[in-house]
Amino acid sequence: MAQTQKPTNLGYGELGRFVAGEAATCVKSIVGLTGACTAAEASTFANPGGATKLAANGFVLVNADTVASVQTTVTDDTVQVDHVFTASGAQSVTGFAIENDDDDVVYMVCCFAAALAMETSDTLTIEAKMQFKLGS
Amino acid sequence: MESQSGLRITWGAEHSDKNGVLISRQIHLLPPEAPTCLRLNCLLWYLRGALLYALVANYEERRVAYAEENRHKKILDRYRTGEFFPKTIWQAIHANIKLTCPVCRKYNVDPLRG
Repeated sequence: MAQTQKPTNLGYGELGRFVAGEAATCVKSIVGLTGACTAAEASTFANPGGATKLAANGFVLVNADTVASVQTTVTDDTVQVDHVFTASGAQSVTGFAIENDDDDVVYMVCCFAAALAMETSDTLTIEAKMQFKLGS
Repeated sequence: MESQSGLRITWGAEHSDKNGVLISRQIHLLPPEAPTCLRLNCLLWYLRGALLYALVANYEERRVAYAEENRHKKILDRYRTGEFFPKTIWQAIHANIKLTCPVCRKYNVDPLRG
């Protein structure tokens, strides 16, 4: 399993609609993934990176602790998502996906370099960024 | 006139136990940018970047797996924190070889330097 990260095609579409003032929702949710995970632009809500969305043990789809704009190159050019998962049981975690507020579009998928063997009460602290301004 | 497009994704993940003790930390690895010209030096620069990326990705995969497998054992902090990050192909080769050698990683010895 190699580490990968990708924004998704459906996420680009959701962003376009959101900026155009059409039906779309902002970056909001996060979910843990398990199983073989390879981030791909073709990822969907049902199939994020070929992995399985977790529905137990503290890694379920929830609103992220914090979603805010921050500066990477120019003021507020980056969306930053911070979240802490706390395991409520033993669980292998291979990545995470960031979703919209409606929980129907994946904005980005990140797959870990190796599976994390979480035990009860372990924490997994995530910081994820999407930068819009590329280049200098 | 076209401009570069897309989003840059960066992330970090930190696995800790219930007492806050670090088990493993990961940061994103960005693959090399595609070559922007067909000149030999552009292609060689890209090949160098691709090789370094492959070696570092391999190292990170094995480092995190090693840290996770040894969560209850004492291992070198560098394998948990990822703070030693190979920046050159030579460093990446050394780091990979060292990680495969149980004695070297335990006693922090580089097998290529004795």
